[in-house]
Amino acid sequence: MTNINFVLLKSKDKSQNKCDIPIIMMHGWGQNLQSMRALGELLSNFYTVYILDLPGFGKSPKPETDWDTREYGVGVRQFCESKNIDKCFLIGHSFGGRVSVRLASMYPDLVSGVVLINSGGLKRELKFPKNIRAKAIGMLSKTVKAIDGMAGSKIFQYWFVPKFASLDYKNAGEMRTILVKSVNEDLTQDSQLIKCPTFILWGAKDTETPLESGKRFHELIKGSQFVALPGKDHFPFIDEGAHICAYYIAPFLQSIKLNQEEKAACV
Amino acid sequence: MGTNSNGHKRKKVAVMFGGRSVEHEISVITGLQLIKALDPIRWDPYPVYIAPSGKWYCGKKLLDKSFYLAMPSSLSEVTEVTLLPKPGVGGLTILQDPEDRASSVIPIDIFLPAFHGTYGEDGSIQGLFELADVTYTGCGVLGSILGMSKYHSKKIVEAHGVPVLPCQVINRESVEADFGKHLTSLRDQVIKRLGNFPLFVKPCNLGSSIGVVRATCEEELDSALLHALKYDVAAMVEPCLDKKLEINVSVLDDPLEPIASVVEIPVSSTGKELTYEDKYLRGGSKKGDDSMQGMAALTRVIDPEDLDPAVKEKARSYAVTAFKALNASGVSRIDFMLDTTNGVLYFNEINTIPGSFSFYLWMNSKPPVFYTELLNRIISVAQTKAVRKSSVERQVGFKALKK
Repeated sequence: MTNINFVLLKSKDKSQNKCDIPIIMMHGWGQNLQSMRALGELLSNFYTVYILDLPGFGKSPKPETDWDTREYGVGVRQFCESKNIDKCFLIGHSFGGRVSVRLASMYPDLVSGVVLINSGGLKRELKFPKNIRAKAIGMLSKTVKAIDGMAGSKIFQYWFVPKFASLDYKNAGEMRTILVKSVNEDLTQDSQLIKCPTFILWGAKDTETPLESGKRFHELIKGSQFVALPGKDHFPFIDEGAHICAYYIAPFLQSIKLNQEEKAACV
Repeated sequence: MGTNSNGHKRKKVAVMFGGRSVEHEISVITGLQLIKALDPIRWDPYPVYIAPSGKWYCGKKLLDKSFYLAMPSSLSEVTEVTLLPKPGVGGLTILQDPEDRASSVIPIDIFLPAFHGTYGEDGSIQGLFELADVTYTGCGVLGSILGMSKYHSKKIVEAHGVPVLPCQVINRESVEADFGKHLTSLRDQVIKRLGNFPLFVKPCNLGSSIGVVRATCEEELDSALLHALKYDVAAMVEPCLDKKLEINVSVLDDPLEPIASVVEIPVSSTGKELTYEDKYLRGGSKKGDDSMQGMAALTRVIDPEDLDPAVKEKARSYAVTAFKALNASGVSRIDFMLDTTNGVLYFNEINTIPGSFSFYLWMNSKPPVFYTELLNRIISVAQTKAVRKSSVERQVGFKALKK
């Protein structure tokens, strides 16, 4: 089993009928658990919170093979088992949102509620002329790789990557294959499979995962709630923004009507 | 821009900070933090900066911390504005505009002062808001003035049954008249009234521990008085408790009855009184969170488990009494001094625009009030007050002149 580093913030709620379903928080690509810590601290007023370093980030070692987000889901599920968590709420940002969507669709019994914050997972619908450019870059990439393959050159590495690749790609290092796998995934079907209450929170000024993606998640996930935050970017929970996110997320989680079995898990 | 996803028009909130005050910089931090926590679905925040010169500026560039470090050259990139002291203008009036826009007024729905200290927290700007007849958050003129004077706030709170330490106020003019002679006689007066050293000397109308000195002998008292009078026109001398604990509580306005937050014990780096450096320059030592600045970054113990619950309750109840007695509104922080030898709790001062709006106390209260919600409540109280005030009859027409 992959070792997952985490921080545990025990619930500060000492009341009689508190809910003992913990929150699992998962960060975005290139981030680590610190990025979600302020938000986690606020939510720990009501819930026990686990903030994870996803494998390959922060202090968690890289998975032994190049995982796709489905395998990340399996890894997090194993983490839950090791902590005796049989019900949980998920909060996923960006890449962590992809993993959350996978978990919720694969393990409906484990996941009682999902919060997606500027989540990845849906391919961008690019409009003219950006779609033409994207296709051209894709073809160029294949051509360059083919030339490198035949001629033994390194044009891809030394010319194509610096010129056309994303910052995440350039910084990915050993995680590059995982990054490529994840950005090529489309979670439309998984999203449609989510049955638990889902809250979609979106910084509306995001250029990495545009507002359009948030709206599509909202359409795909039946019964989901959607809130767009004007003026906020890809990290709406940064600094004091954590208070805005907690202000919207806490009431959503508290509104989730638990079934009998889940209620039994509440003290 | 002006509407949210539900199609409701967002109210434009002028968040005002900076100001002609020694706490200028702390106010910038409070203001910028606050803007990040405002619910962007309900409010459209608009930064308004009062430079140390007293000139007012607005523009999105003010949201960037680097702007302040690049002053004065960066001032050419923002719009100079003012608030005219007449009703019905509808916002800020442009004085000088690098963008050359068509209208001369920038519409504002609500003014939210985030100043600390002179001219911003002491009733001055509140007076201008009154003249301009605009909706503004926090204390009105009376509450602001009372809160700023350590002497007057003590006297009023004392009259409402909350213990305060005795004190002696010394005005600058009484020292200036015949310098050496008067200082000696004033010193004798102080010692006669307040007893033995050590004594505490502070400016009468300042916050943030600026100008506060502990005097252990006559020479130190003289220099402490001069030091305090450098920052203020009046100094206040108090006895210094041997064994004491500072306890702070925040109070938030509510339509029915103000509510008190959990208590905090601020911790000084020296084991003595908190200094300006303790409050703002030592940086966040709250575990894992180095990003906090201003009052939110102070080392403190919130709701300490080993503090007698009866003391906590007394602090909270005194705090609400003081808040009401001083005609406060919005959110305040009330600082107490606990004499640990006999358990007596003394009111020390009120901050009517507390650093970081005391959000760090509210997010740890039971139930927690997140900063976003705290600001919603402060604004909504201001709106209610504005409506109530608008129903007050101001004119009776010309009658006396016709006689």
